[in-house]
Amino acid sequence: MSDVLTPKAGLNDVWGDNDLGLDGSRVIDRRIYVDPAILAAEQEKIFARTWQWVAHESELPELGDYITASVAGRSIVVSRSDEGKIAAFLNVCTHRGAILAPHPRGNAPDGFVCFYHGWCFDTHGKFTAAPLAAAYGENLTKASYDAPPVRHDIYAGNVFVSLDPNVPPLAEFLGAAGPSIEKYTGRHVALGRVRWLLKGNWKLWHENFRDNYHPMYTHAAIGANYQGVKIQGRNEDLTGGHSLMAFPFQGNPDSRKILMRNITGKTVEGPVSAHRPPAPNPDVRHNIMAIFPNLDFQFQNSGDGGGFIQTVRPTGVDTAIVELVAFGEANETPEVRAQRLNTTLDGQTAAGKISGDDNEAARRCNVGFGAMREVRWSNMDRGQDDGRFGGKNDEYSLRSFYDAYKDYMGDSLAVGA
Amino acid sequence: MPANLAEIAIADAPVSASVDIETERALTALIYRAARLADERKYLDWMELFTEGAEYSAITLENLTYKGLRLFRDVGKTALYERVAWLMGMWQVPRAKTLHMVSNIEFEAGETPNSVKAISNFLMTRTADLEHTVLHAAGRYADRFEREGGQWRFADRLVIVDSNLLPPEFTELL
Repeated sequence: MSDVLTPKAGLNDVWGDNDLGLDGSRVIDRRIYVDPAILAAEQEKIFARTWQWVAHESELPELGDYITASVAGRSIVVSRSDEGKIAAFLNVCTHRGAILAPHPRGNAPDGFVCFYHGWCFDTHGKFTAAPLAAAYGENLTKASYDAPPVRHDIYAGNVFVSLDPNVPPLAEFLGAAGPSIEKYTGRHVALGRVRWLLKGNWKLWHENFRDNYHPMYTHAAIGANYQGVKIQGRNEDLTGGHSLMAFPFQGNPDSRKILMRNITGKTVEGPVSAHRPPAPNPDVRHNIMAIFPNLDFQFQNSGDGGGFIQTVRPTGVDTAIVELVAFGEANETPEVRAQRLNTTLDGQTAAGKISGDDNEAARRCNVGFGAMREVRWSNMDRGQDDGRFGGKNDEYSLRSFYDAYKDYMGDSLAVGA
Repeated sequence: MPANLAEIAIADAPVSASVDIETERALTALIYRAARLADERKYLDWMELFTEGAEYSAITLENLTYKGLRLFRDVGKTALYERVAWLMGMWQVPRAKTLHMVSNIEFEAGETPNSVKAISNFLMTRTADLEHTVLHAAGRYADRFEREGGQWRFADRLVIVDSNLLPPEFTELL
């Protein structure tokens, strides 16, 4: 394991002097949600130094298919190049700086022509020609005008890029999370993307995925669902900043109906659709896996069926864009596929029956952080057992993130930094 | 375009049969009433504008022309009731004042005298507490209506959202 991925002894002490009387590894300094200098450090020390998910291979089936992504302020093109391989390069014309690929998704089998002065680049980003080039004389050969390539690798169909040439190999970076990723997306295809704005710091969204304490309170439907149910499940630090929450499908659909009746005054007939009944096989688990720093997976533990992944990327200290990519199994029947296209997002996105409230949680925290000077510390202490895992509602997953976060950020978190 | 969404492309298809003016008036009033009831937060009344087996769904323009991934798809009265329950309090996202503007309605006769299709454009503003009014959504309704007992209702409403970047609070009735 690389040093980069291993929390260094002593760094957790950066938050050791807190008002809550807790170990520094069990609190969050709210300054990290509001300080523009910290966001700037995060961009260069985290987003530019980690592997960043940008696409699934199934989204790029044809020669010239491309997707653009923003990583640490750089626009990046990921394309299916002429040898059928994936290429990644900075989405920038080396002449004057305009972006080459203007769309989130497109097809450019003949490469990219900068719209500004017509400079030409192939599907690898290599500079191929400039109009009226004779005017440059021999000077055009004195430097490379290729769009700089970006290091990339593929894991279970997932295309990752890194701006850091010294980043550890992708499989090493993913560590213990790797086998699960193989199950989730190795035999799957992407079905589409939805993205939305978040009114809050990017970490609020990623934290939300690592927090299974909130659902019973933030989401009325889930709270009702768990009435009278002994909650099972596990919350685990996978090390390297990655984590896994796994729990069975439990619930009480009748209590949800009662809540709906109390709210509307109407009695609903028949089963409610937005409820997944307890699975007949107790080994079936819902998995929520978080990959440092900004990637989340939600699938069944077996990988059977569909699911989705999400990335969150900052657009400011208090704004971010969340992007969801839905998946189905590659060989599923047309009937199953149609059902998946219709239902996968019901609880998700800014319109979702679940995530709608998660967006609201970020917004309210963002407002609440206005009192950061008076109430500076957030408690992250749930789960007192030693080791790396505890119950579903514990915070091993959350602490896993912040262990790695402090490691990457280093002295940028010091008071006055 | 995905096959299951092909039915919305009526604007590009030749008009196969005209819709009489009385039917157009009745359906225009129905479209406006759905907009008004949504804006007045009379969600239970809004739900009654749909047939028992009606479908109400939404999709972004990007996914409409990709593989057909919908934001949601409610089929039948129970599913609509569920959405209404969410709007009335299952969501903790505060409701805000909305305003729907619907125009450019085009009708096309359906396969039976009791079926009509329509497309229309909508703009929707949202005014949250202590915030100024913002343009919240824009797009197209692709509707199919059925007449039962002389009463026209929505049998299918697909909301096609133009924006491929949704605002943070997108739980209002579209």
